[in-house]
Amino acid sequence: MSTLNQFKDYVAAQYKSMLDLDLFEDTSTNAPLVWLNDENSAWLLDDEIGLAMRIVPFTDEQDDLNTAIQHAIRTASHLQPRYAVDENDADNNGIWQVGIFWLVDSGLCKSWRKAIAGIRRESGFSEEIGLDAVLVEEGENISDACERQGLPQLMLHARKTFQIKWDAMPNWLSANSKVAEMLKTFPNQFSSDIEAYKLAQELVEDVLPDEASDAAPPDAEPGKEPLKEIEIKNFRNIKYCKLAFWNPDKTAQAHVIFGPNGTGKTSIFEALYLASGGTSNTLFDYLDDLDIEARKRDYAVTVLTPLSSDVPCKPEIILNGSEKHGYQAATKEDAKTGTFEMEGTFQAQEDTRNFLGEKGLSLAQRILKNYSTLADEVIKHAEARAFATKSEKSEWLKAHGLNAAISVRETRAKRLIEGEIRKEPWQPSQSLMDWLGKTSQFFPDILNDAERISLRWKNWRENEDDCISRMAQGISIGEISVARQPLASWLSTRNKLLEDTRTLVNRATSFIEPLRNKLQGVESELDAWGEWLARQATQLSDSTDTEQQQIIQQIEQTRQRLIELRQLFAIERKHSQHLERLEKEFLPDWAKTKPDICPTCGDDHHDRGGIANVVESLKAGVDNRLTSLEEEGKSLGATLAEMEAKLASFGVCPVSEKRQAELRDLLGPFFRDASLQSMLTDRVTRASLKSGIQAAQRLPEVQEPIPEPDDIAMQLAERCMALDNEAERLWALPERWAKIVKALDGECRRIVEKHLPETLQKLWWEIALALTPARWNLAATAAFQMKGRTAPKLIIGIEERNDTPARYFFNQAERHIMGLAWFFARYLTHGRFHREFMVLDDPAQEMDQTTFRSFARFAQALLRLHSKQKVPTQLVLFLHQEERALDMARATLGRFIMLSWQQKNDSMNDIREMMLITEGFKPQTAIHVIKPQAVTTL
Amino acid sequence: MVFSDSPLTAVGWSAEEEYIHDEIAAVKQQGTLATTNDCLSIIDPNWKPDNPPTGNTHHNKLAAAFGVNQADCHFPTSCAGNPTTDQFFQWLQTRYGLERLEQFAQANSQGNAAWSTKATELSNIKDQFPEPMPTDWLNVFFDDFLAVWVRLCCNAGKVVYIKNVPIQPDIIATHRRDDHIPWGYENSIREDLLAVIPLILSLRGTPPANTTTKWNFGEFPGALWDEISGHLVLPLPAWHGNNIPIELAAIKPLIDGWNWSHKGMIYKVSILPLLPQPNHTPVNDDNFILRSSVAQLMKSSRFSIPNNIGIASLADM
Repeated sequence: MSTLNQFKDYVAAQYKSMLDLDLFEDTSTNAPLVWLNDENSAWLLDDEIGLAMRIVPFTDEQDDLNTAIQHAIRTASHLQPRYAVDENDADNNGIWQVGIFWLVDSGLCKSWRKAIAGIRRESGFSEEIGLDAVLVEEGENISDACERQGLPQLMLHARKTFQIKWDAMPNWLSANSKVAEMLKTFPNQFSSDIEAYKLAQELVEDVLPDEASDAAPPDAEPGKEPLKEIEIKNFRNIKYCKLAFWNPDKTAQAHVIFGPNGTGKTSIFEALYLASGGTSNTLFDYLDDLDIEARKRDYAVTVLTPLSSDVPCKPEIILNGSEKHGYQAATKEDAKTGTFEMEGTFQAQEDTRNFLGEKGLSLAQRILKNYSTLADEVIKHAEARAFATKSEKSEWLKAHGLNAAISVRETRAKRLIEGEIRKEPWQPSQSLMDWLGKTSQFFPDILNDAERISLRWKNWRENEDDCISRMAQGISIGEISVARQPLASWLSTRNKLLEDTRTLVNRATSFIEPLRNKLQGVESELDAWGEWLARQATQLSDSTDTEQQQIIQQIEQTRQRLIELRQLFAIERKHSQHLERLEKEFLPDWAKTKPDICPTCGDDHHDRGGIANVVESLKAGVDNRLTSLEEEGKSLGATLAEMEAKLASFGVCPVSEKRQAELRDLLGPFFRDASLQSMLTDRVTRASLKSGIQAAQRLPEVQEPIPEPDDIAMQLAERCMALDNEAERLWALPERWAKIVKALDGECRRIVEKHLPETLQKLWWEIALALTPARWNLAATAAFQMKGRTAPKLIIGIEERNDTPARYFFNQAERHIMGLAWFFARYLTHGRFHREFMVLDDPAQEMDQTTFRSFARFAQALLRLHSKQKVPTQLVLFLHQEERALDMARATLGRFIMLSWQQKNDSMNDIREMMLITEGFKPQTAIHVIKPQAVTTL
Repeated sequence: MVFSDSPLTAVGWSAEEEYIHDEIAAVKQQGTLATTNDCLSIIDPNWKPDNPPTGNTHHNKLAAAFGVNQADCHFPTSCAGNPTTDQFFQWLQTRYGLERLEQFAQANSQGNAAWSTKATELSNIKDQFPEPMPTDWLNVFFDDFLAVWVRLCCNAGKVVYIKNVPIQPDIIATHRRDDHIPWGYENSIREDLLAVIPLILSLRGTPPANTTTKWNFGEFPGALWDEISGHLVLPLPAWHGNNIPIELAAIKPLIDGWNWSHKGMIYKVSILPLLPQPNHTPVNDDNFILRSSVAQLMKSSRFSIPNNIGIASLADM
């Protein structure tokens, strides 16, 4: 396949994929895109931007570039507006521009460069038409070379961007839609870990906007500000000026405003800027100027009011018939924000260079607003979830008393089982163990059994660890039966132990119960006896035997009475407690239905005021008796103490010998082989004896055995298994989230970093190349490089030297072009949705003539694109070079407006509009001029 | 190749180039050199017998090739009242130019008495140049104007080489000012050259005695410039259908070549449409065809408006 055909196929595919345009080779149709073969070259006619591009293969270093250039120049001549052009051949959308695109074979690049350099040096023709080439390198085919170098003259990216509607642009600008697209399939990468998959799925569902809300009809497109007319009074050097822009007959119109220095171009520019945008680059500089005292910063008064005014006046701007009051941004931040908003609408003089010079953070703020909000949100969300799982784990650990450092699953299971077992009342009570260990010694008959049982309980407790370990093993392997068995066995052992303990306690009960009454009051007798023994050595008072006998007799009677009183008191107190419970717990409900009937005997107590009254009076009676018994007891106790003291003072033991013998018999088991008297004499041993007597009377409660230990073991094992599973999940969660966060971060970073080069950068660089007349001479390719995702920096670097800002590689003119390209990129992506105009103040200042002509061709194509798509726009250009202003007005068939110096202070600036195209002259369609039969008749 | 087939062959300035010597040697080998009318003139302030850097002798060698010696062929310039080399060659060019124009007028004179008259008038003017006349405006006319005019016509597609077959403008890289288009071979149709005959004769006056003119041909190559009145006249080819504008390729190098900022104020710009006719016929441009062509290339806003450009005729000159 010939080079030309290869290129044709490539370019047709590009048009199709990017703009959905078909390439026709039939000249008879009114196709918007036509390919015409012409001997060894071809014409590509693109109606939308009015470009007739001659495609010329450069296959021999002897090929004369001049021939192609002259041919193209000749065609360009014939495409100029002509008189009396047939209406069918006229092109109302503007003049077509002509370009040449060489397809330079590999190995011939050097020759071509040399040849084109010669032509550019010798001839001014090279500026008349767009000269471009694809330089095929060794081993490359045409498509690869075009892909690498682009086809900037065709403005494919610019036109594709132009097709994007206002409501779709935010998505195009930001990486959100691509991130959303990625998120839809993101969980799939965790398909081997179902838990992670679920987490990722939940995350995506939480973050992704509802599809239903996406489908909601968009808001209406916001109205765009037109540019109809501006009237300026007392503004800088302008006394009065009025400029009309509106032309309802032209969809896209250029207004080229030319004037020598000092005629007010920049003042008009700023007036437009302030009126439409509320800010201006100069206003920002003023507000940012540290040399100006903040309180004196009144821009309108100190700067805009004419210096030459001899009468008080204030600046006025009337845009589209509405006077703009309070148009100024109040703070430098407002002014800065305003200038960002106005990017793509107003381009101030020399500001273009700042674009490439912008520092990374500032550039990122300027370009990346809302750029990766979804990526930020989803990662923030994932990180929050990851953090929450750590907290959840920590809380869970705390709740289950586990150490965060536990990493072995079996150890963790042991601790969990231990915790669960400890929650159960399965351990023998301390009182039982104490009773078994100590009190049993007072019961010689059960001593051995008690010791055995105590030892068995000890063993059983020690076996708990083994039980837990074996359970943990079962849980670790997920076998519930294995986990259950040791617990069931351990609980069975406990049941047996409980039975045996109960038997033992019963035996002790049978021993102690008969003695219980006898032991009542024994302690005070032992104290009296002990105290008497301790005082035997002291001097005794005189007394008669009769008196002593009387006292002893009284003591015995009193003691007897006290025993009776205690028994009565115990009965009455039991009765009182019964009545109290009855009153509180039973009677209220009973009395509702049977208020008069006694629940015990069934008697009707209606006559006595009902059962409640009966019980109440009974309770009162019992309480009275208790009080009287208590008082009597106290009185007798005091009397007894007096009598015992008196008897002791006579040297007589207050406990009779008979009673002493009874006590010895009664308390024999408690002191065994020891002497009771010696124990009583020593207060410590006496206290121990008393304690033993008390303890012997307090028999331990023995728990009921567990009816079905197997079932209980199963329940607990299941509970532990569930806990372990939960623990397993919680242990794995942070790791899973970490994995998700890492994957997400990687995916988002990849998308976010890739998105900018694929969208805004491609658009910007295409325009920059379209504005560059000899792009093959550019030192490098500039590219956006994003550093970091959160609070990113954006550097415009070059591919060859990573991290080094591009501003160090390009000269001032090139930097200017790139800044200007950014303006148009912003117009296509932002400005055009808000305003129907673009205003540029002297964008040609740093351009050589060839570059300026490229700029004019770009403006020509851009306006034509608007015209063809019926999108109204106005391009206002202030230029201070007459020749260039003429060039621009001619290329765009625009208005040519001349400003000249004000003749008088009170007159309007001298503004004249000149008609460059004579009436009756019209541009022609390229197909009319270029088709072979037309060429031959030239 | 026979030199005598060409009316005049002027080569180099010192004839040092090897290829010239090789060419002459080849012709000599054919045995045709100096056999008929071939003659050699070496125009140089000095006789240069040797060329030390290359070791070649050239003036001697050339003379030997033609069988003459220094006395027969050397004309020393810039000495003893002789003209300078530049003046000599300008004079030679003027005579040559007049002769070519005369021949083309003569070639068209069959059945056309007017052309015959013009041929005679040109011949008379040529006779006014028996020797270099450095102050005569015709020298500058042929040196600065005619070369540019021919290039303009050629670029505009107005030059017919063979009848009805115009020279395609893109055949010759005419936008480069050093490229010179010959003033015609015998059998070619040169309407571009015919069209300037009335201009020359008009400026020469009747009788053709005006050796001075108010028009400056050197300041704006290809145009006539009256510095006193600030009037710039731009002759344009107006034949072969003047509904077709003058091509950008033709007129652009012309206008680019004018360094406007250093020429002083231009008050008036006129187009002088020329036709290949013996008697000048004024051409109207009611539809602004020609004026629009020029206006679209003008670098000042005033003359960018077709209405501000005038149409001149020879009577106005």
